[in-house]
Order: sequence, then structure tokens, then C-alpha cells
Amino acid sequence: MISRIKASTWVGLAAAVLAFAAATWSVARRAHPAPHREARVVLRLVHGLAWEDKVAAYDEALAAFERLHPGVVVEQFAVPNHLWSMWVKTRLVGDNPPDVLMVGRGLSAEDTFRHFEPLGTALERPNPYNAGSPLAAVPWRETFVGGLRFAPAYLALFDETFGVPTSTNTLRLYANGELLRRHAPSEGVADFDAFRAWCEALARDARVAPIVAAGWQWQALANRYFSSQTQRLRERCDPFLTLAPPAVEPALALLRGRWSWADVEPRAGAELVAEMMRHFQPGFTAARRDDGLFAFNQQRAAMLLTGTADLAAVLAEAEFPVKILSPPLPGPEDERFGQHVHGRMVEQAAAQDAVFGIARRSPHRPEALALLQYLTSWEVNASFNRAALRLPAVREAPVADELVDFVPRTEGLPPGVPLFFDEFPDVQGLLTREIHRLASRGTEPRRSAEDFAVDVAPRHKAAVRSDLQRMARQQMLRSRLLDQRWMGESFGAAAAGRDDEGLWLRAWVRQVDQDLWSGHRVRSVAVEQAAR
Amino acid sequence: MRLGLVGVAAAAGAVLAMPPDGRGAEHGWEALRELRPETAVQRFAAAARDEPWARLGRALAQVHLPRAGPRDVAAAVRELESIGRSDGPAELRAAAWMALARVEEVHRPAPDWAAAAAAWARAREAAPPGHLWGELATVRELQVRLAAGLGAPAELAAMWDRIDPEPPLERAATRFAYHWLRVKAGLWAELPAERIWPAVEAALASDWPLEYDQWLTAGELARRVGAAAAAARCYRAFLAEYPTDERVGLVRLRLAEVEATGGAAAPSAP
Repeated sequence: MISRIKASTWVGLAAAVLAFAAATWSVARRAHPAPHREARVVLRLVHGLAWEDKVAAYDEALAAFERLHPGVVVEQFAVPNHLWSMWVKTRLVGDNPPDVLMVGRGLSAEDTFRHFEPLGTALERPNPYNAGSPLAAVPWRETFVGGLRFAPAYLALFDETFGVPTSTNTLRLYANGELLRRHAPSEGVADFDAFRAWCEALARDARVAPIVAAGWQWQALANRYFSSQTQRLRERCDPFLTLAPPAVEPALALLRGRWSWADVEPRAGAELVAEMMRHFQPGFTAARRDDGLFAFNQQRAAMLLTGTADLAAVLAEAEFPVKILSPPLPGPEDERFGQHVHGRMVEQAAAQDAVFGIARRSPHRPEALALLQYLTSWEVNASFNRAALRLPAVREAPVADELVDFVPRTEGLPPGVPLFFDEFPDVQGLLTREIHRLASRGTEPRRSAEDFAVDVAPRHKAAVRSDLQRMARQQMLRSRLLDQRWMGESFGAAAAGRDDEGLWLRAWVRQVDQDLWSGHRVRSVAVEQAAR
Repeated sequence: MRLGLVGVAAAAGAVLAMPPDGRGAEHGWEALRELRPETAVQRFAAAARDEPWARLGRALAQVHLPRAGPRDVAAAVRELESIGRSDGPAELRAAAWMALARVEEVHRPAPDWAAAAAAWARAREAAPPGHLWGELATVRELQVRLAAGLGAPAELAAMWDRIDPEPPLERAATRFAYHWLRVKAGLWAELPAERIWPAVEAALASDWPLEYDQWLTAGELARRVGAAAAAARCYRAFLAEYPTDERVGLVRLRLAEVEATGGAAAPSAP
């Protein structure tokens, strides 16, 4: 009896062990599929671009990269957009970042400096994956549309490049083709005056909102119109004669009295913005991206202002023909706004999209660098952007037929002083709250622009000052980080009896310049002169 | 009792923070350049107590702690001054004065320009002859003196005239950094282009490669003083190196202008 019980117990136990082993094997196989088990390197690429078309296009490109590099497997994870900031900060603070991840979104410049690997000298050499392409001999840095001189890829205060864009996003008006055919003048609406007249006709005859904006895109349009009037003003805000100074210069020039809202150029800029904002839907400053798309697809608006990224969504939903328009700007010949226009403007290259960098902590930095070079090579970048209906980030890369109207204009002159300065949160907040003064309907744009300038000017100056003071403090903190880097290098080498002369010297030369002109000068104008 | 426990915990932390090869100070420098000052402090503390480079490293790492307060800064200043005034090796003393100068410049609630300039001068004097750090100190000394004058253009302009135009700098990097400080200070003080131009020429002659905006600053100053060939060289270099920049169209216009005038551009103030 005892022996019979023992035997059945053993049988039962053996069955349980076998079942457990089989389950473990099955889970392990699922967690580590065959290629991963054989892989020498598993690269993790994570982004917050959870659009199906984008994810599928990346998948295809990553599979091709794996075929080119046996032993390397790339895992792609798409974090939902609204969770991205929290997710990425948690991973970075927990010292457990993926190998390749998006730079910029949800991260401060200090976060980027601490946690991302500068791309450094690799950018000065040709991208090896461009061999045989028109960009074969061009340094990697110069292969991008608009160059690599903008945040988040490039951080001016550290003078380092931490990422490369994989797509470009341009701002366009998606027009309802039927309304365009019925109400547009016969000569078309590419001309600024004709466009303005069409907007009036749409509001009057078609009883639809001429333009709806998807999310914050209206700010970019307001900047474009405003800066068409301030090209010459920008020349007065250029102490170091760089021909297109960054936003900090007009801000400092404002506090130093080099320009004010009483000047003709910013007044004309405000008037032009007023002219355009009147055609936007009510409450546009608070509208979300989906609100704009929905109103346009429901034919409650004639035009949708948004970027390239929404093309796939619009084409899938709209039950009418869609035409893509570049927002028409007044030219030098324009009677009202032409006198301040210096020349046709280039489209700002700050619209670089899906910018990826390499985590400093990644154990696979060489492979991660190769992946970034592969994704931004001439042929591959064109191919996966075509699949995702996006614009390539690489210059001269072929563009999908559907995207020809999105190609940014690279010929022309630099834009003038913008209305919304980059990295000036107090200025952005103030103008977002007050812009409705420019959009007021039923009043003359000229009057609303004057009201705006008079009412907002003193608070604008205060907001500029507080943003500059914050910048000066940030520069101080960044200087301390840079000090740790070069003193750690050079003092450490001296303490160990090594000679490292030159390894950190280029960064040091840049830091001397940054400390004086981005730190102490900004502090001097925004803090000390304000106190006097 | 409680103090004892804190001591034991600190010692345990230091031991855990230090990789087990006994080279605490070297790993301290490594932690500092990886922007981990807390670890650096522990590693320097675990190194030999009388090791002067470890003392310097610990003082330096202490001021970079995220919650460093005035007491930490004051303690670090005392330690750095003591090392700077010691009879230790020249390199060590120069490093201590350099670190102290940076503390006075970027770790005080408001920069103490006089103290920073004095510390850079002492670093310059302490550095062995021909050593890179002596040259860095010369450039930094000029930078803090200019910073002190930024608030008053007239004061800055007067100071600009007193800057030594031929400092004893052997290296291309330091020569360029020095003269480029002169160029931008002259522009900020709104001096006429003709007065600033010799500083541009000195920077161009330094054999240090100009970058990005620097090409345009030099080109614009050259155009304003009528040095058309130099202006054209700067514009061409910019176009060749940054062909995708948003200023390319404007720079092409400038280049066509200087090529057409062949040096006849009217001089003007910036």
C-alpha cells in the first residue's frame, strides 16, 4: 500500500515538474525569441511616436539593419505619447535607459547632457551607410535638412550634438478641395491677398470656420507671419554680427532699449498676425490636436493647420479631396505689409522630428551609433519615411509623391524676430493668454494690434526679463556640469601623471565663450541692469 | 552612539563606493567627470588622507554636490587655498587656484569677479613654465575681467583698450580663445569695426579652426573695414562647411557683394 502510494506520488510529482519545466521553457522562448538568444547584442530603441504607420516603418528598417549586422537584434518599443515624459524620466533616473531613445521631449537640457552620449567626431566624418549615394563624401552633420544646429539635436549651451532627426515636419494648411473649388478665386489662393479674400468669403458664404488649428500649431503660424515683418528688426538685435541671432539676442535688445513695441516692425507683425488669427476657430488657443482633425473631417472648417505627421490620419478619415497649401505670406510687393519684408523666407529647420540619441549608459554604444547612421542614411531614411508618409530628415533624399507639397523651402532669407521665442516659457505663457486680443472678430485688425501692443508691452518686457534671469541661472548650472567634466579629465590625468593635453580643449574653448556671453552677459542685462 | 553609527555608515558607504582596487582617488576623478559628485566625494574620502590630489578632488566634488550650501563652499575655499599656498608640486597648486577661481565665479550667489581674477592670476603664476594650465588661466583671467565690465559699455570700452594684444600664449586654442574674447567684447562695447579688426586678424592667425557663427562675425567685420578678400574667404568657408544653414541665401548675397566691390565696401561701425 505504502509502496503504491509512493509510486503514484512520484508519478504526480514528475508530471508537475515536467509541466513546470515546459511552462518555463515556453515563457522563456516567448521572452527571448530565437534571434535574441543567438544575438551578441540586443539594442533597445524606444520612442513616444505610437502611430501605427511609424512603428511599422521602423520595424521594416530595423529588420533590414539586423540582416546587415548578424548578431545584432533591435527591439522597438513605442510608449504612448502621453506617458512618454514620465516613462523616460523614470528610466533615466533609475539608470536603466534603453540604448537608443528620443532626445528632447520631456527632458531638460541638463537631463540630455547627463544621460546622452555626445555624437562628437562621428558627425564630422561621412556616414558610412551613405557610400554610393549623393552624400557619400559629405560629413554626417551636413546631411540633414536644415543642418544640425537646433535643439533638441544640438544644445547650444553645451555646444554638443546629442541626437539626429529621422523625419522632418513642416507646417501646412490642409484645404477641403470641394470648398476650395466652390469659393476660391479663379486665379488660386497662393497669393496672400487672394488667400485673405478667400478666408473672408468662406466665413461669409460657406458659413464655416476658415481655419482650425490642431493643438499648438497656431503658434508656429503666428511666428511665421510675425517674423516676415521683423527681418530688418533682427539686424538691430545682432551684436555679434551672425546674420540670424538666436532668440536670446532680441530679448536682450528689448531690455537694452534697442527695440520696443512702439516700433513699426513689431506693430506690423502684430497687425499681420491679427489679420490671420481672425480666421481661426473660436477658442483655438486651447484646442487639442484631435479637435482640429475632427472639425476638419466633419467639414465644419475649410482648412486644417497642422504638420506632415497628420497626413496619414487626414487621408484615412476625410471623405473629400484634400489639397495641401503652404500658408501664403505677403511679399515685398504687398501694399500693406510689403515694406518690412526683406525677401522671401526660408522655412525654419526647427521642425526636425523623431530625434534619436544614444544613452550614455548603453553598453552597446558603437552598435547604437551604427543604427542611428543607418536610419539617417540617404536611401534608408527616404525609404522608411515614404512608408510612414513622413518627410525625410536627410537632404536630397527622394520624397513620396503625396508629400511633394510638404517639402520645406530651403531657398530664401532668414526669418526675422519671432513672436514666441524658443525656450522662453514666461513669454510663451503671456502671449498664449493674450493672443485673443489679436483674434477679436468684428473689429479692425489695426486697432486690435495697437491694443495688443499697448496692453501687452510692459508685461512682455517683464516676462522676457524673468525668462532671461532663469536662463542665466541655468547657464551657471550648466557651467558647473562642464567644469566637472573637464576638471575630472584634466586634474585626474595630472594626478595620475598622464598627459592629456588637447582631449578636452575644444570643449573648453567653447565653454569660455559660453560662460561670458550666454551666462554673465545675460545675467548682467537681466539682473544687474534691472536692479539699477 | 548615534554619531558612531553615522560614522560606520559613512565608512561603509565609502567602501561600497570605491571599486576594490585601492585606487580611490583615480576613481574619484572618474566619478567627477561622469557627473556623479556624491560618489566622487566618497571615493576621494576613501583615498589616503594625506594624498594632496585626493584632498583637492574632495573639495572640488563637495562644491558640486546638488545640495552644496555656503558652508560647503566656504570649507572648499579654505581647503583649496591651503593647497594653493602649500609647497606642493606646481601643477597641484595651479589646479587648486583654478578650482578656486571657478568657485568664485560660478558657485557664489553672485560672482566675485575680483576674487576670481586674483585666483586665475595665481594659477597662471603657479603653473610650470610653458604648461597649458598657465595659458588657460591667462584666458580665463581676461574673461572674468571682461565680465566685471559688461554692465557699463563705456567701462568695457576703456578696459578693452588696456587688454594686452600680444599675450605670451603658445597654443593655437588659447591664442584663439583670448583674441575671440577681445573681438566679441569689442562688439558688445560697440567699438568701431576698424578698432576691433586687429583682434579678428590675430584670431584668424592663431591656426585654430573657426566654427559656424565665428565665420560670419569675422566676415561681417572684414566687410565693414573693406577687407573684401578676407570677407570673401570667411563667407566661402561658411558656405562650404554649413551648406544647409538657414543663412546660406543671405551669405551668398554678402559674398556676391564683396566680390563685386573687390574691397571697395564702405567702412562703417558695427
